[in-house]
Amino acid sequence: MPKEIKIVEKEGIKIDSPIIIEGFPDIGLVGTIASLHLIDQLGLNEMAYIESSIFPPVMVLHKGILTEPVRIFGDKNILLVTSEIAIPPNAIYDLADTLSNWFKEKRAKLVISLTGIPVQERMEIDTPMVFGVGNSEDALSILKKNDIETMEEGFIAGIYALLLKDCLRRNIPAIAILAQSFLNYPDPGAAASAISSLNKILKIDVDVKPLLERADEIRVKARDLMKQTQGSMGAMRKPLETEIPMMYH
Amino acid sequence: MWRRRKLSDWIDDFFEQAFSELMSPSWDAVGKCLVPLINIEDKEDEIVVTVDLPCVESKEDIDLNVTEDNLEIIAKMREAIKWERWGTSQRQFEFKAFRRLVRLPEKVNPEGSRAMFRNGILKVSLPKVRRRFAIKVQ
Repeated sequence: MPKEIKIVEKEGIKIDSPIIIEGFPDIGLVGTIASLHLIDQLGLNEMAYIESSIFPPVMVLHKGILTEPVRIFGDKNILLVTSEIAIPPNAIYDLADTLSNWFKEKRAKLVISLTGIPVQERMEIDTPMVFGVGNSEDALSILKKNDIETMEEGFIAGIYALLLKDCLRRNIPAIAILAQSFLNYPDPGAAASAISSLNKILKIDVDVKPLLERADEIRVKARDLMKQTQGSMGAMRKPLETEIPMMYH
Repeated sequence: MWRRRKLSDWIDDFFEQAFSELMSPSWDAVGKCLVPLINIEDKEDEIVVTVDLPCVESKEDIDLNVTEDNLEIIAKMREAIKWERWGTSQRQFEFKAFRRLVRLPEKVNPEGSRAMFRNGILKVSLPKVRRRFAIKVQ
């Protein structure tokens, strides 16, 4: 079956053995909010965009320039994949497959997904906790070495779940950082917690203070993306993440 | 009586609302109001509405009007939120408040309602009018 998703690199871009960060719209928009902050703080530039006939027919205008909504930013060490629109559920499998193939081609050292895990009592939590999921012993050891509590039992759903699996098939270590989050409200606090864990793993020092200072503004301006994302999360079986697997032990 | 519901029920309820949410506009340019994101939980004895109210300073900035069927939320922002460049007709729009009228899934008793506001999230608990009768099994 022909691939319906294509990654289009900018001319003259050289990428070799990067660390990949993924932050697609999901629970509390944790990945997207974190991604935008990382792009700003690390000074990442647009390296590629992703186009597909199964994405909605949408383009974004920024300062009058026509832009693809699903893009890859980066520098010589880090690549960051993010989106300004909710990814349609029917595109998830092909997108994860295409991305992990591309990661392999670029000899990615590690893939890190940033996302949220919904908690009912989020209103009472000042600093959200972070949990990790790894796709191999090597990946789990990265989490343990950085004192990130791992999720031992349970379901995970959405593009990060497929990326973990597809990267495993291609022998790429991949982890997911899950910050306690509001389910349906943009959550910059959770994004800040996810970035703090990323700082530890990558030995970088991204300041989350500006993100927390702008939290209210981000919450207001991310409302429409949150609404779009609500529509696609149900079809991705996100509710499964709260259920206990039958083979629990 | 407050009973804690399963997290999965809470999430299922949320996704049922998601589609209707998607189709409704998130702002009212004429009234200069933003429509806040909400979540409605239909619990055994009460309806719980949570409302995302960023940029709202304190509980004194929030007005709630409750009837048996509706909850109206009006909240003043501490400063106007501006979009300097947005579309064509919506150039330089600013919004100073949130406003939303929520149709409740069941009749409630407005007098027994209570609300709390923390970290920009408003939680309104509205007891259901429905009375329950115990039935003896013969």
